[in-house]
Amino acid sequence: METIAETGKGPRLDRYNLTSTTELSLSEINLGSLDTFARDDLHGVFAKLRHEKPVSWHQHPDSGRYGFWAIVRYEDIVAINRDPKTFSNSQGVQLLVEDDVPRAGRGSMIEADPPRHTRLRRLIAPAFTSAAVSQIDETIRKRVREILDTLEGKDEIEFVTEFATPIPMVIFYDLMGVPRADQAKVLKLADRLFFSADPRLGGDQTGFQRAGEEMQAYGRWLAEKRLADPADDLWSKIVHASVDGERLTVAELGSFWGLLGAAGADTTRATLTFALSALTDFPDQKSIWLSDIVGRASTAVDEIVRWASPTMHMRRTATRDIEFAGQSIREGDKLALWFSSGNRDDTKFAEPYRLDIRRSPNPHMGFGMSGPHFCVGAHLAKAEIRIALTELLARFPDIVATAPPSRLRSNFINGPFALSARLRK
Amino acid sequence: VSNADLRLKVDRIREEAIDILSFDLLDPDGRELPVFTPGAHIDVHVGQRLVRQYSLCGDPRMRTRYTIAVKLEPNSRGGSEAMHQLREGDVVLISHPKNNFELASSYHKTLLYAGGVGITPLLSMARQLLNADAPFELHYFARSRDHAAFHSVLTGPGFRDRVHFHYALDASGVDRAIRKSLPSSDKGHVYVCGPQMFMDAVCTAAAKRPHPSIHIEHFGAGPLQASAKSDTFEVRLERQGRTYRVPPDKSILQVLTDNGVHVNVSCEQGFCGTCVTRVLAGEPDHRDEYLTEQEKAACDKIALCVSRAKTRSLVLDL
Repeated sequence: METIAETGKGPRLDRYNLTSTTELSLSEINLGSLDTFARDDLHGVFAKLRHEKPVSWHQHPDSGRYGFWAIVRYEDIVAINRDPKTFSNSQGVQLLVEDDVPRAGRGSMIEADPPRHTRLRRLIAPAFTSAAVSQIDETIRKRVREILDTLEGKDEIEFVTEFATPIPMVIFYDLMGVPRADQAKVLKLADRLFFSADPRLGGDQTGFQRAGEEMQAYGRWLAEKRLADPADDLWSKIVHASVDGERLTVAELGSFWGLLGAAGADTTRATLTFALSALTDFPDQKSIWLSDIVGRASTAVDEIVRWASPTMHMRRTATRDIEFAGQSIREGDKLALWFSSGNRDDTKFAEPYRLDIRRSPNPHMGFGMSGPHFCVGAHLAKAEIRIALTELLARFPDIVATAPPSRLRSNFINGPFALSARLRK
Repeated sequence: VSNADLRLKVDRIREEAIDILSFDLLDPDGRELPVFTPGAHIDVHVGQRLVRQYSLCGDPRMRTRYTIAVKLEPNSRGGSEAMHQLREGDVVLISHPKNNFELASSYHKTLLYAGGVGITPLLSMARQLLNADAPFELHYFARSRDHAAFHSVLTGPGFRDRVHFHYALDASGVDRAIRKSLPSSDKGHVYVCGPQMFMDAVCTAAAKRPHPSIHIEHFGAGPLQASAKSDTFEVRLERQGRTYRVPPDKSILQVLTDNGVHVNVSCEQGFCGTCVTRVLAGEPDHRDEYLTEQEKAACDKIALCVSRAKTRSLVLDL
């Protein structure tokens, strides 16, 4: 197996991200099986599909009862995203979601198509524009510094628990107005939504249903609270927001919380964690960043989001029979858009298996791409990641990962379980 | 969109040359400022709506002070006038330093060409090269000695032998001086900042060399506009019956938002297509990644977050 890891100098750890080939044959590849996503050569698998079978059929109980089409090329993912009429979000965006099972995002804008989607999104988008996010830069910085203070005096840390988890948990849930006492509980719900199939989090692949209901119930509770007694937080803004005199109902707010509460933390945690393993794998890139920490942060953050691809797929459902890239797709078929694959597509990115923190332009799909569902929280996520990593590097420039990250079992969110790190030389 | 990250105190204002003032900016509590590299600039929030880019011209090793210099341009859009009204002790809002004009490391002699107040980014480069004892030459073109900012620094120890002043030259004189100072065999990097015609002259001369490594700092242009010409144009909102002026340093989206016009937006980078709006008249200058080539050629849609206008006016279906 050819890996870039073996051709470079220095410690190479994260084979998962560095491997560009696979020994599997096309017929052995199954993107429905979570085992595939535990393989070191996952990106080799995607590369093989991009080159040899850009639209392919997969079926596995890990991803529900019905099979699905895998879309792996950058341009194909763009084309599908641009056509929400034919490729709908309304039946769920995760492969595992089928029929009418309970889930966190049900009823929220991520499961809506235009024009309903447009109405929902208009209510919350103003809270997440770059201008709105720039107002809270200093708040984020303060929180990051407090978390870094807790690491002072240590030599070795478990990066996921001690840095990558508290950052989004405290920052995002504080912003949203989740009481500190509830934050760990809400994060645990988010983890169960995405990773209930992992034995370390219960090992029950239907666990996401119950967790989704609980997440929505929490959102309704928090909405009632803020409707009665608004506070200076984003959730208060959202529950009181109106477009053309219309406001969201408490049930709709519960759905919204199902989406925001779930999406806001795990993805950022993943990106921060894979940032450290990538910067350890590419020490040259780390030195380049260290030579101008703030000046290079903007391109570095985009590259790290491309690298981490925290959301591996988003799913669509065909609303009619259609010929797509030479393949007949039937009404009702599920399609998975593999952003992790699009982000390594060498027709769009030169040297895609190389971390290049100065890559520009960098039209990565880490937040989705081309279409109404582009991540509403992208500016906030980027601000969190930018501030967290610049402050981390300024405080502990010698930080390195000391082992490869251990990953949670999923083909939806690219989640880290643990990453050991050393803070000083 | 620039982030206002730092609130600094104007510590000292000096008259560096005719119409050019320099400003030393410090953290009010004396804290260290973010590191910057030579060639970096900051966004300065000048008043309510104006954001201007100014190069940092101090020594990058100085961790507690940023220095910028601003030339009064009475015919400009007001940024320099507002800057010249600042007083010592005032507080200004600025961004973290950004750098689109990086100094490469090189064994060969580095050549720096400054025209007028374009000296500012090159001065920080010269300071760095001097600190590193790297070979360089700075050619500084100005109308007269009284128009040459930082004259006393540049005639001081270390700089004296490496800085060449060129005063009161007409276009052909500038051309001659550039060609003479830029031998065709030279392999070093060339950095230039100054008025457009001056930069064009340096680029033309430098491009003839076997190893052209030319770095250009576009005056007053933000990072996004650095590579493309951005003129002022007008947008008319047909349904609302309103017209706004879009200056070179703002996007259509920013202008509309500043004026309370609601537009659906998401990525603000020309990727997602959320802000794509119908164009009823005028020709867009497409800079997005969302529209296909055919859609761009049809000229009937525009991504308001990044695209601009080729015509003096655009009429939008808003």
